[in-house]
Amino acid sequence: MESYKGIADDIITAAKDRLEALVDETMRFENRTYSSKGSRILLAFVRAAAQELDKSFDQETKIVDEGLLFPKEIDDRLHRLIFLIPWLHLLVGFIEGSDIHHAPGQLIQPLRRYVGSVIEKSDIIVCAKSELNYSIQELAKTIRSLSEIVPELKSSASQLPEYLFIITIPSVESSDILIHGVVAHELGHALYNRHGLGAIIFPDINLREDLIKDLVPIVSTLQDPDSARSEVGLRRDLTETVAKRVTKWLKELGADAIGVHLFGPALFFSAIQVLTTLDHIDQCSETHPPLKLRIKVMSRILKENYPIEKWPTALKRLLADWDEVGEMPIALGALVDNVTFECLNIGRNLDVINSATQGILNDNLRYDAEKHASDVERLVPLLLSLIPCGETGQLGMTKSIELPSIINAGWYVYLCEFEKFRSQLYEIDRKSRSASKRKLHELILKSLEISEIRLAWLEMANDS
Amino acid sequence: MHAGFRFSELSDSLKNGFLADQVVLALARAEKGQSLSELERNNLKKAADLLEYAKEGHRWLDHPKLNDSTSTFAASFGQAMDALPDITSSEDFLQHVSTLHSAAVQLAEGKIPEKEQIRALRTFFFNAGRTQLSKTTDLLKGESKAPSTLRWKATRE
Repeated sequence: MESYKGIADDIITAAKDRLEALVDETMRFENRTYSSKGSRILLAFVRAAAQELDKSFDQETKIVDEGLLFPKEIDDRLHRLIFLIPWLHLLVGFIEGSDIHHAPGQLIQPLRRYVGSVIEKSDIIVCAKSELNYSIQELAKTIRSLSEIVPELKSSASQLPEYLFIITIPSVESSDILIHGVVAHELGHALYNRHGLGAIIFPDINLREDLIKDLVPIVSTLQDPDSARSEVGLRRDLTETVAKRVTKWLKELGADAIGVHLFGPALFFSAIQVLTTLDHIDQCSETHPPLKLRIKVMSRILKENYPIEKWPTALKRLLADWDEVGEMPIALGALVDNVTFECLNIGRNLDVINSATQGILNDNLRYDAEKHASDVERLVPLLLSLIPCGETGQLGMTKSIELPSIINAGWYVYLCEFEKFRSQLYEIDRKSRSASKRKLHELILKSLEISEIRLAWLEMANDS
Repeated sequence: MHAGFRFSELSDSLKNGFLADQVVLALARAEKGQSLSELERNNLKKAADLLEYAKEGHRWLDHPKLNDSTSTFAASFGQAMDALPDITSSEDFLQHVSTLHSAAVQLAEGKIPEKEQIRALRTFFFNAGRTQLSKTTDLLKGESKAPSTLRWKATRE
């Protein structure tokens, strides 16, 4: 035991050195200029947490000295505490790419304002990274949940906003503003949690009990006799994997549905563009349903809430193509994926998701057919004349345009009027499709910037 | 859209592990006859809840209905199975978990169960914590393990 105490002391000393280095690193990061306030908030959390953890290692020394625990128990305790160091490093890593040289400034302020209007007491960090990956994670709730068990994190976690979203976009596509409409899906996750939609949706979902129960005999017969799982082991595997898939997939579908209520058709178009280039349409995972099912949920909501029959041919065709693909049988993957898909791909269950998500947004936040028709009528002609659509109205009485409206107008031009838009550009910008697309994105970013300036002026005037 | 790194899963694994460590320390004190603090009894209440949820999770496949606790029940069943590596039948599982649950409830209420029961509970939560440590390591290294029984693919003409 004495020898183990010596080893434990060495481990603690090395961990404390690491924590000191981490605190120094956060000081170095402080000198950068970030495009959103959230980066500094997260840095302050990491620094405070590292300092608190340093003290908790002293506490561990006392526990070792008490002689209550076996060496293997002490070892596990110490390693768990030590694993909080790479966990803190991960948080610092999230901030990388959020400084003004990497993240698109014109997008961040309007996005921050919009996120704040949808979810009060929230903040964002936008990071542009080299990988081709779009993701949004909510950090504050996760950190607070851990701090309930780890008291060393409690006081620093209390300084975080209620929600802190970290939005990661690929740096090479950071200015492709239209596809950032996928943000609406991620906001859907936060709203799903905030409104406790699981408790509303889950009990109304009608699972195919027959399919789930059939899994046990099917999987039992498929097992290799030499390495077969016990009866209870198999029960555990099936319970964990099916229950996890069903609940996680429903959360994703719920977030998609809320996203469409927030952003309207723009989320549908962004999701198709982003997801189809990253995943196969039948591809799924334990947390994400196949793209085909996700698009089906979004398409059903659009058809129910928008006059699709009056939309231009290009948009109608896009929806019709996906409808047709949605009806094709899914390419078979793992058994549990198929069972989960069959359980959820039922009209009644998809209707449960739609009706539960519809009621959580007030009229100001919900993007609807009326707003879409108005945006097409007012904003699209401006974009086609190469005029940013950040504000409209008579001179001196202009009103700023909201983020979902600008993005929807942009998508409409891109999908229905792109050739007309191109024809307005200088020859050099008409040369290639990508050059013209870049000009459209620049125009939309400028629209967002103008909208934000107008709102900032208004706020200042109201304050004074 | 797929997060490159499962930060929340890593945090959950750490959280489960820290709880297991705290329960083990409380049980070590109880074994030595020391009195438990309110915080420690509270942690033992959480330990008892986990065992109760594990039983609920075990029943899920017989009546697969969804509610807001479904994933918690299923995860608790998994954690309990990881902590009882020698159990091979449902009957044994339910019996063991019930005995452990009864000991955890007694300790949470300030009563003292048999020493063997305290030791069995301590071993259970040590195993549970060890599994979480291994999961944390995998997540930090970017590795993930799916149960081998579910890797088969079905094919259809």
